[in-house]
Amino acid sequence: MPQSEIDRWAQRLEAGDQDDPTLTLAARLQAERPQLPSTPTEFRNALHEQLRTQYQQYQKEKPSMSKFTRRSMAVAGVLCAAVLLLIVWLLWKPQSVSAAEILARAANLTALQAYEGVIVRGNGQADAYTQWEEHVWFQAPDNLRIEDYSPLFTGSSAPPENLIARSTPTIQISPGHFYLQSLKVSNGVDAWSFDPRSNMALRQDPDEFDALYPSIVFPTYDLTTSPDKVVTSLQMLLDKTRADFRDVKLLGTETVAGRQAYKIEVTPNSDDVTELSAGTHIVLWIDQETYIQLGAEIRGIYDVLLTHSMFASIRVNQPTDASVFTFNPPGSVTVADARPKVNPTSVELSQAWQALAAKVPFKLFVPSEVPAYLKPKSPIAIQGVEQHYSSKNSAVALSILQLAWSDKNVRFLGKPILINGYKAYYWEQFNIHQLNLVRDGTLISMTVRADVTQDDLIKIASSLQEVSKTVTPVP
Amino acid sequence: MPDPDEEQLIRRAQREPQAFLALYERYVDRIYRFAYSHTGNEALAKDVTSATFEKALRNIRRYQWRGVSFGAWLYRIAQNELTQQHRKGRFTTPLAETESSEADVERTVQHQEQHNALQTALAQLSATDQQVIALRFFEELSSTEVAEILQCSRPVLYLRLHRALTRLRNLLENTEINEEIPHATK
Repeated sequence: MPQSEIDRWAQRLEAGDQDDPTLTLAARLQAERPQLPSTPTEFRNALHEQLRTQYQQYQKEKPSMSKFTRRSMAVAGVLCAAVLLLIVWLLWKPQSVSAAEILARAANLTALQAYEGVIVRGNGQADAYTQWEEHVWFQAPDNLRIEDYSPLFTGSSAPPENLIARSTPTIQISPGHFYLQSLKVSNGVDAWSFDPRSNMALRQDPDEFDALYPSIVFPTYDLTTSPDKVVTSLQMLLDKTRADFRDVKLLGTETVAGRQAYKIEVTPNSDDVTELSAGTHIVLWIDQETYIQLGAEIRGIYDVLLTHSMFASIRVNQPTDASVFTFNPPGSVTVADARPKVNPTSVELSQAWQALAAKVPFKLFVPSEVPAYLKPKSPIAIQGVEQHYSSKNSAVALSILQLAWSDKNVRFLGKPILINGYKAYYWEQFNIHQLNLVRDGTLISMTVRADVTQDDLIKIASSLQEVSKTVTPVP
Repeated sequence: MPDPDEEQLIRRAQREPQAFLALYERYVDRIYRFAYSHTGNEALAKDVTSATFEKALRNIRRYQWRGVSFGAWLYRIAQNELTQQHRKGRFTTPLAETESSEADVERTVQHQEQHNALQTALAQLSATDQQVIALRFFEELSSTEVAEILQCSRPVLYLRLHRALTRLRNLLENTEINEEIPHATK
């Protein structure tokens, strides 16, 4: 019988209707209910007395729990259950990490063996903002290839004749029709920089390959370098975040290069490093699965985009052909060997310095007191003038970069120190020590990757002497 | 309909013996008759009644008024007690049997004071059907109270009642036909 009919039947039953055989039967049952014996009086009275006694005993033996106690226990029970649920939720919730934890994980990334990706970069201001692409390959421990596609050639129907790709004859063209502007390749043994416009290739020492990055810029903002440098700069950022009590917020998650990424905003305070100032903020995108940094942007006041760097595509931990990390310049290319001479004599060093001093439009300085275990290489001029000192295992231990410097508004990272009357800035992080000093229009940036102390570095800086015909560098 | 004063009486009974005994006086006869109707045995009916009120006494402080008479709660306790007694084999009325055998019918009929066709047909119903009919039509309980005792919703109760009455009507018709046949042959 359908429910609606049952409902109608029930209404008639409750009304006492008898217009249905079952309803008639119901009325008959009520009228002819069995005549049952009444409760025996003796039993009835005995049970009455028994219940009275039991009630009193029960009151004595088991004092009832007060309503307040019952409610308190109920509330405590509910609270315990809530705490348990919270613990379970915290343990199982995959996205419960804080922004600082995400940054810390990204800054301690060690599992990255290889990646290949296209990074879209841009910088400038308002309508002068330019954008370009860089294609990056990395394979642990020290294989790196960076192809820079400039927008200068956008719209060209054919690449410049002198454009050279890697050892394969294919010309690399990105989906955005940018043509190769520069190429950097390093495989730990050899390192090359190639400029297609000048048709020049520069052969470098692999240890010095990355040394040209201005030390005051965090690689975390451009990404086009080896991951360990991105990680190191993230560690520095994290360290500053803790030290300066900047605001770090997890804004949510977004898709970058087809991957889910945490979006984190870092707001610097007014005492921030060189390239940032009050009112700017940094946004970072960190891969949810691997904690690789997938993107970064810096915005100024009024939220104006100043620079950005974002993976457009990325493949992680997939093997890359070894040919990607080699470069064989064709015969038409002018090759310059910029590899410094190892273990030069003091005469050779002196001549090299004097030649460079005559060539560059700014003053050069050379230290006269360097620890004996650091052996100098010949100075080289690529972007500025550099000299490297190696320790026994031939790794670069001390690097001194000198550049023409006139920007008085730039503020350096670190605490200020006065050396020979010149203001220097020192900072250290993860066994990297750096001292930046501006002297007579020259920026002298000294970086040490060794267990040296601040005093050691200051002693080296204190011994700097201007290069002249009369100066002989100490080997 | 539940007695509007019953709620106050129950609240008092949770603290005072006299109030509980007042509730006892109010319901003892109905529970005894309910127990007797299912067992057909005075001693068992007394046991079930005693056990019902003792359990009610032990649990009175946990009783929460839900707008249904206190009697419905007592009936439920009594019903559970009857089920336990039946499981122990202390009585063999058709409480837990789906269909009654002819012998059972005969015995049940002997236990009844009125050996009319209605009682005979009733005795042939399943225990479940007997229970719902007894509670609703013999115990003078409202449908809400019966639903409370049987722990079901009112629509489900009406469905069960309708089915039980339909089956009873069919049994009754067969019984009456059977009774008429011998008369016709005389």
